[in-house]
Amino acid sequence: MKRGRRAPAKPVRRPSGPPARRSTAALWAALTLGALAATVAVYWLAGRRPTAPEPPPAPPLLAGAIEDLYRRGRELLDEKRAAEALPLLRQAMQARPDLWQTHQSYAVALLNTSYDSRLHQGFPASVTRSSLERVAAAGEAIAELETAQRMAPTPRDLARARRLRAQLMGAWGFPWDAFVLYRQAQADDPSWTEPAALGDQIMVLMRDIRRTPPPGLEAGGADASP
Amino acid sequence: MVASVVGPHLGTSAGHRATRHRLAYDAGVSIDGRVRRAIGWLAAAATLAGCAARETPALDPDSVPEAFARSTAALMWPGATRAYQVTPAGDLYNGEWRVVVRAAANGVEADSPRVVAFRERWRPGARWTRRSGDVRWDFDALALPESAPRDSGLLVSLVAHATNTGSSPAEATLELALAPPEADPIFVAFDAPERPAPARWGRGGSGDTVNAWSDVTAEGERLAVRWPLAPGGSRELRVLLPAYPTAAGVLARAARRPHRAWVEESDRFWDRELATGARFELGDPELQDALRAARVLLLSCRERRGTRWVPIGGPFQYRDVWLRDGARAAAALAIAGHTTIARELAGGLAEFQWPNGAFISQRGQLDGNGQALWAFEQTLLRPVADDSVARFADAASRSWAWVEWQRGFGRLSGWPFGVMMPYGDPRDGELVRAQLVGNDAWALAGYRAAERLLRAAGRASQADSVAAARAIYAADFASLLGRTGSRDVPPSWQNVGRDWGNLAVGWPCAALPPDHPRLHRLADRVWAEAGGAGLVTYGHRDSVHDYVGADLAVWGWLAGRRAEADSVLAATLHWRNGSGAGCELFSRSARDFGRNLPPHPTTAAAIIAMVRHALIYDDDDTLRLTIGARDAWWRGAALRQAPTRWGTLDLELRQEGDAAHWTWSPVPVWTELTLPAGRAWVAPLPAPLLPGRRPDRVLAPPGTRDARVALR
Repeated sequence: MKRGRRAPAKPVRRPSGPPARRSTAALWAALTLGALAATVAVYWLAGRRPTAPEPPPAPPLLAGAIEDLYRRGRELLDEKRAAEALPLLRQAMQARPDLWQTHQSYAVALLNTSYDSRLHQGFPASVTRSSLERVAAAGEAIAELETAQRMAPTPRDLARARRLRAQLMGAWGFPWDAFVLYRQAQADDPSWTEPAALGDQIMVLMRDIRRTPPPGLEAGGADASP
Repeated sequence: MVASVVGPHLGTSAGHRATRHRLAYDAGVSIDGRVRRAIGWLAAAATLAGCAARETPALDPDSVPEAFARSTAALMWPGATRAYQVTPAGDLYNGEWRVVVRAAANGVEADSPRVVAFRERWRPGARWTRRSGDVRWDFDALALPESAPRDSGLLVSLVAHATNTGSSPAEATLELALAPPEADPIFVAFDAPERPAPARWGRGGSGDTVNAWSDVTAEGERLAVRWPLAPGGSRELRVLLPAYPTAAGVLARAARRPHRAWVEESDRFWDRELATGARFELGDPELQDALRAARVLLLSCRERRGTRWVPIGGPFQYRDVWLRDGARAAAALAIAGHTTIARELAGGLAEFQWPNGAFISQRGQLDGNGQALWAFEQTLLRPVADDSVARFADAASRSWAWVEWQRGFGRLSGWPFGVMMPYGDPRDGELVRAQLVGNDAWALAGYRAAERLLRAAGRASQADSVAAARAIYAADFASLLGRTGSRDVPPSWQNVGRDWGNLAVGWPCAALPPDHPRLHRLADRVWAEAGGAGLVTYGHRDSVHDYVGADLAVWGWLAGRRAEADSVLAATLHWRNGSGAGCELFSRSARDFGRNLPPHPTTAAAIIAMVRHALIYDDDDTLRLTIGARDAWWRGAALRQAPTRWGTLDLELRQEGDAAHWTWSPVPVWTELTLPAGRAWVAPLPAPLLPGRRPDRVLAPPGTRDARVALR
């Protein structure tokens, strides 16, 4: 991670998430369009295979103690110690809410904490107290990722945030939601083939549930990048 | 509080004191010594506490029915985040430390308790007896909340009482050792430290943080007393056990009130709590106590989250929140008349709504979506719509939109079951990754709930949209069952998995009408697999499930299969322990629940649902009375202050000779009256009654408040 200080990334407005479902007419219009697009995309993308993910972009540059917090939080995420990373990355996000990376990293910490388990006095247990806290963490992660999407400076960054949301939804058992988000990530950055491939895999599973899901498709742990 | 002295051995020699290494020789304490010590805390309390166990209402725990080979009980309190388990060995455990109770007489260790019982099999204070030779050990423990401002802990008052029932003197020893959890614990408290400090006893009123308190001198983690007992003589020891390490001074203050006062306070609290609900007067004390036990359990299995309350899956290994269990708990409390608490729980369940509108508490458990909406409707619309209904209607509307959104995608996919909920891997229940029939059944229940909530909120147009969508969904559901390859209602659309959510299709989900042949065949199949109607099996024939088949009882009453339905209720009532609680799963042959400890709140919810609906069923557009009333109830029974979808209702029923008589609060809908089992009405029916859809049923028009029907 570079330690130098640099100006915070300028927030970039992007279309956010699935269309709001505020009225029945709007809902059905959105559904129909989305469904048609998705169905076309299914066939168009059939047979494509995932490629290795792009290397994560350079980490954000923060100042002083906040930079240390952020760096240490990221290291803990890499070490699969999301619960310990969480307070550090929350602090970093609160100190630099103008950086999309702090929102995304904090979201990953929330996401991974909600999945984490531990051996508690030798007894397998969740890191979080109960499902209420896990669902709240997932909801907060989604909000942070939506913020990161709105601020993402490049199509790839936007796609990366959307892909994380897709992974979250897939891991929690929302295959349709995950599929749509993967397709949106694909649309955000057509040069990045991984979301398309993951969307394809969900389609394959939904069509034939007897198949074994590929490793990682329903996994909880999210990549800590960026 | 005290190791008090009662009986003929008062003032016996202190000669043993010097000879017993590391035992506090309490028996030899003289009257003067005892009084001096009592003055230290409260002299009067010492005297009262000395009589504590004997003065509290009598109970021989071993006379209480216990269905399981090993007996256990929970000492809990609403809002407390830990509970104490009275283990089958007679120890206590709170998820962080154990209180290992070693009782012996003349060197003979006491046996394990046969039954750990609650008084009347429902009052939440545990009694159990152990025996070592001629010495009988009676234990009495109950929990009360800690004083404010602490609101998540509890304190247990435990009295151990030794009686020499023999004809010769005996030497009784009692050791209470604080120990860490066993090597392979069944549960560990979520907030237990990873490396707990050694637990220790406290004495006196210091500020030291301790794990247990007694006014008997203890050494670190171990408290021991030795009592010589003359024939007929008895002694007792009282200790306090906090759920969390607590200042000794706090415990000392709590100990000033004698155990008996604790019992009285607990009784007053629970009498008051239960009095706020509906009154079941069935002429069947055992069943009424079962209902009380069920309500106490549901009321106890609640935790706070900020200003919210959430229902938890149990006091021990299931101390978490599941929509599938929480919805049942909230609904059961609602129909039992605990409206305010049920609505608080519904408010807690509302926190599980995702940004996309769905309600999910556990990964892959999509049934939670419909269950949450069902819980809202069950709790908020009885006896009248709550002021907050608009907020819940909005939440239900978003949930409905999410399901429709998915069905829209599925419709376009062209897949055989594309319009049904997508695959899920609940890692529970059906134990399979598939498109689960129960998810759709619950979604349909959610649609019905959404429609009702929207109507109650004055959004009739949107309610109509939901109703129309439900009709299409229900038609898809019924039609696609024909493509599953199953003759009944399979667990999944792919016809794989274990029976679970599909057992709720008839009731409460009403995804198929009660008379649907597939529902009959489903009940036939699962009851046959279990060896007959009653509880159903799960996984294999010897593994019996205590609640998952309970929905078949209410369905059975609606479908006219009364005897089989009643057998479900009877079996659920039978498979309860000495504290009146059922479990989740157990081995029928071994009568053992293994590591899946009772109590299970969902079994409690099932008991309430069965009994209440057997008397008053108000889930559809008709008030249905006595669909499952037992013969004994017809000798004269009543259900009073019962919240229904048409207001608070009182019902009385009685059979006098060859006539059945009902009186009930009039409602603005038709009422269907079910006659006593095996009877039919004699023509002509008195006006304004009309024949029902079966020979054992008659219909009363809206506004009717009384009916008398001649029987044959």
